[in-house]
Amino acid sequence: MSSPLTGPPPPLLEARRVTMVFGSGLLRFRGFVALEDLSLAIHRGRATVVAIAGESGSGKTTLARLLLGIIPPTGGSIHYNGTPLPALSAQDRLAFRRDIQAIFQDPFESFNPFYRVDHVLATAVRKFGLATSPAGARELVERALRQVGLRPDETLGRYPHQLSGGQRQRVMVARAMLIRPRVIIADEPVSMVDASLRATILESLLAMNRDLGCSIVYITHDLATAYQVSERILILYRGVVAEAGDVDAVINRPQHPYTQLLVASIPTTTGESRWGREAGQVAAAEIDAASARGCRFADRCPHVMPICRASAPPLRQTEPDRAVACYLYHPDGIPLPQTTEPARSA
Amino acid sequence: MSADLLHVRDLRVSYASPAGEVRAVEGVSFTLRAGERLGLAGESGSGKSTTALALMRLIRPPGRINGGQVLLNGMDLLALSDGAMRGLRCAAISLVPQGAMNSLNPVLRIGHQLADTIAAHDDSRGAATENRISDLLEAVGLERRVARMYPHELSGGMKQRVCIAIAISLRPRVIIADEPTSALDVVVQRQVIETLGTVQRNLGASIILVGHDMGLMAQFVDRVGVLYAGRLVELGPVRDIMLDPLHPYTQLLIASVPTLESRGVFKGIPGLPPSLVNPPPGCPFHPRCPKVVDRCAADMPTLREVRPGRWVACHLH
Repeated sequence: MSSPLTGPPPPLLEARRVTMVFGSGLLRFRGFVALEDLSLAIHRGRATVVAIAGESGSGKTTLARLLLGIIPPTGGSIHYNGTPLPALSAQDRLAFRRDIQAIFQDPFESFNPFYRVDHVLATAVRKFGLATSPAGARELVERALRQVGLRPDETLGRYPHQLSGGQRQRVMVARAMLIRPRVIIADEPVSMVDASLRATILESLLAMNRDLGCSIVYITHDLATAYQVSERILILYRGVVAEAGDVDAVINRPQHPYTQLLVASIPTTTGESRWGREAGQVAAAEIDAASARGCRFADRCPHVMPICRASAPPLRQTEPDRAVACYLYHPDGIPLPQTTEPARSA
Repeated sequence: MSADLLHVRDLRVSYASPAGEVRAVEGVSFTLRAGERLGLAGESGSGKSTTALALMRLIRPPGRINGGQVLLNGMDLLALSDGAMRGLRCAAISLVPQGAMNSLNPVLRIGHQLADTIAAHDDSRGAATENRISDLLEAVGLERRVARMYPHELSGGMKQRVCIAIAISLRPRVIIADEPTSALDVVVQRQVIETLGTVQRNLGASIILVGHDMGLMAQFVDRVGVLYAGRLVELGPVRDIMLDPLHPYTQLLIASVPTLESRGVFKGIPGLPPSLVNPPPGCPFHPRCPKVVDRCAADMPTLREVRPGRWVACHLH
């Protein structure tokens, strides 16, 4: 599938048309499609920041887990330097684990409560042979902590419960800095952190991108921070890419009705455009939207057309640096025949 | 003032800890008018949730309400017997707790959980209860059939609506909502907040919205109070505060809201919130304040009305 997010091979990390279906086993007659036909490539060379934005249940975290090789996709494949993850040699697998690092949402769950916080940092130094001497290791750790705005003497030697959520999250960023990965998959890194600390953590991530040449996959439900940090953005809706491309274009001139709704819902402090006073009677649609056929946004879409309920719109390029999965932007209004299902002819 | 529904006077709450007494709320005073939407904003540890729980008298050990008054229509809730207070919860003053949607019982149908609250307070049974449950679900924008569903069948936004339905089931005069949308995305957040507003208007109730998101405050409340280290540092009409915040902390808090206008610019608040066991002398914000003057480290500023309706605790004003 051609999209502005794939390019000349081999990318450092690539998702090729990945699909993830959960629980098609004994108790469920039909599997839950968490992610469908998603492609994404992070290239070597120029470091970039890609945002993956979507609401809860849109498949954001599933994508993070797939990219990290924590779970295998049920369709499609994840490639590291052009090689599918399961085919990596032991040596390449270690390189993959070093190159691709994760920062998760909940800084409370990333630590083993029985170890001092030094442990997560020291383990990284040891596993990847980052230092030749204990003094060198100590120096590396202290420098990484200072880079994220933590004082080593106040941080090292403490147990996780003695640090605040923001401090813990910064220790995880320091760990990622220590390893000097090529890609960081950051899954909602600031959603559990206060406004005052959010800036420090995002600043540290951007510094890694700028100074260390590390690409960032920033996964979030917060469109405003996504806009602030990223160059490219993918808007996910119920496991499907609704819109993707250059962040300026997507946020300032959203094309997909879902993106338009998201942009309009960001609360601003000016209060000039206070929200309308009508209650959203949308909950009913939320129950039924799981229908497999058709556009998944059809039940909430103000521009819904008959074709939207009949078959899912494919992701099509509408501008040089943008693609949208919506029939409003396909001039012919007719989808290309999907390879996965027989084309319905009249 | 006859229009004042709730008077909070010099509320003090602390938690016992091995390191000493954590003074989470230190002398908070405000009033809530009938039909008003009041916001309580601040970072974690500012005392906003503790204030909400104290108004409901739901502070559990090691926490303790040390003093103050919570006057609802002139009746001091803090002086009531436990039994009398239980009778008022939900019926007069009601709480949508933080993370409420995770507090639903996973093995009971939604209708059953709604019926629990109703049954605990009056003796309507059978068809009457059924009808009330349907009405409640409709009031929060859910279909009747949701009553027969289990929590896992609902989305986060729907669960949060159920929690609002439970909170309003006895038609309270005051609804306290503690971060009701913190786990939801912006679209669902907006729908849930709008539902909360509709429900409040239909009941003629007042709302206290507790949260850290100044953007959300600007969208919803009439007046907002900003808490820092257990004290109110600024209180006033939300429009005025957003346009012209007086306290340096409020200024930084508003500037830290990410917007679509400023790209690649992160405005945080330097430093960390102070210890509540050994708070710094003088103004608790002075170690982080960009506009600090000598006096700030020595004297604690009091909350004063510097313009009509605008209250601020800062030596600069």
